Amino acid sequence: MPLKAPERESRSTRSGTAAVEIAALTKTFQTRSGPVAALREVTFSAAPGETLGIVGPSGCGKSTLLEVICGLEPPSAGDVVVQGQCVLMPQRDLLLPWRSALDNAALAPQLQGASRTEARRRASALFERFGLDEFARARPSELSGGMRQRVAFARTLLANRPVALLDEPFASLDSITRAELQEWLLAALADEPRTTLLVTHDIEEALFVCDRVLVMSRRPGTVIAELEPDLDRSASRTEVVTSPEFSGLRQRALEALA
Amino acid sequence: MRRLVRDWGPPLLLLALVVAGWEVAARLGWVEDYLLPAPSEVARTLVEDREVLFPDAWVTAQEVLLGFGLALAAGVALAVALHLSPMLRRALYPIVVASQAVPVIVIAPILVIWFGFGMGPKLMVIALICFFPIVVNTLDGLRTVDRDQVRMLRTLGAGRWDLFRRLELPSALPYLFSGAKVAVAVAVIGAVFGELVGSDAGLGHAIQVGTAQLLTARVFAAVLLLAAMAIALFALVSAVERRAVPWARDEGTLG
Repeated sequence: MPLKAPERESRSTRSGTAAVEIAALTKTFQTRSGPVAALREVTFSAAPGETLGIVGPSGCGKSTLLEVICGLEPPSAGDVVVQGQCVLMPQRDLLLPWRSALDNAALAPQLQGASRTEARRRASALFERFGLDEFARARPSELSGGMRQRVAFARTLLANRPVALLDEPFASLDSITRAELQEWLLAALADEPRTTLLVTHDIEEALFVCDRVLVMSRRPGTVIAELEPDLDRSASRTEVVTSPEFSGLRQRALEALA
Repeated sequence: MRRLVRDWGPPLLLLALVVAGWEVAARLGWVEDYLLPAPSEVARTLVEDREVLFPDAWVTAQEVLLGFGLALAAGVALAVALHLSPMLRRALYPIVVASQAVPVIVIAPILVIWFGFGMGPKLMVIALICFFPIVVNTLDGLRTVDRDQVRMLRTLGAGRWDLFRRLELPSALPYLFSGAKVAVAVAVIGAVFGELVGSDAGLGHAIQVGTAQLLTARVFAAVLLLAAMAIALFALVSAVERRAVPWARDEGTLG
């Protein structure tokens, strides 16, 4: 299995205005009991700086979609064009237990050749802006699930890639912490804009965090609805998620999935 | 303090009871003195014969430390080499495992024939015994890294060397220490064995001479020194482990 993103021809030769462009993407896995279609004719694009949500039931191929975009898995058919490189944030935080929170985040620049001092400097700057500096020296085992996920997100941003792919980043958190982190993520992305693809099975999360939300069908996954939650970003989370517009959007998403 | 009592209380109490029972049995003359000397007799011998026993203990300690050090260096180096080269692993690992089937009891006399009565053969016997748990544990540690972590590092741009240095090596450290602790416990046995086969110094030699002359208390004193040495070395490795792998305890992987 190739682990490094292969520089496929389609990535560099075509150029458009979209940061991510997916056209008729199909992905089929060969299993012992025959081929299994994970994704069927998925087509969408994400504009630079946009936060695009992708919701769907478990096993609809959402994670596979991110793996293909990231270059971890080759597509069976269709085109994937990404402007620049992607960074993938998996559901598990995967923090290294022997590194402090700060050094875990500094890992990303270090792996791209930055010196330890320089990597730490960049990580501290981000920690300060994200209000994490209090925990910089703590080891992962001393951090709560929510804190660990924030550190993992800081590491993702410090990879300094134009496109960030977030795969169910808050799925393992309790609902109160998850709500807290959604607000935090919104603020963080406002401060540090990226083209972001957020995969989640939580409709509310996608609608609250994203500029645009794609709804995917059961396996083989394909895009069955598109929502544009034009919500008031200055309002509090509670105000937003209890507003009539929000309920309307949620209803449309649920109807699409039904 | 409370923890100290809880952890050390029961074994010390049990030990005290056994020693007390033994003392009583010996004092009442239930067993002959040359078969089982009283603990007090062993303690007295330890002090009185210190000019015979302590130089011997020093020789054995040197053998153990050098032999263990040799095994540690060679074991870790081989584990890393086997890990980094799948071809070498396929070719050499089965042979390393099979080599453990050859009893050291067979090899030791040959080593003495080849290298004489000096320290050399003892170091080799110790190293041969210690080497195996270190290689096997370290190699296991290097191989059992979290696949997702490997992938995460790869997507962040890590090369082979980065993976080794930043993930595999630190992940393997707790395993390496497990192997080292097993190794250090058997290192003392290896030293005594090497000395029994052919030697003119060391506690193994003292035991051999003591047995021949029916100086049973001296033999017991030598055994006591060996046990103390093994416990001290084990404690030393554990202390280094706590310093070097502080995260293993908070992860709960090693009690």
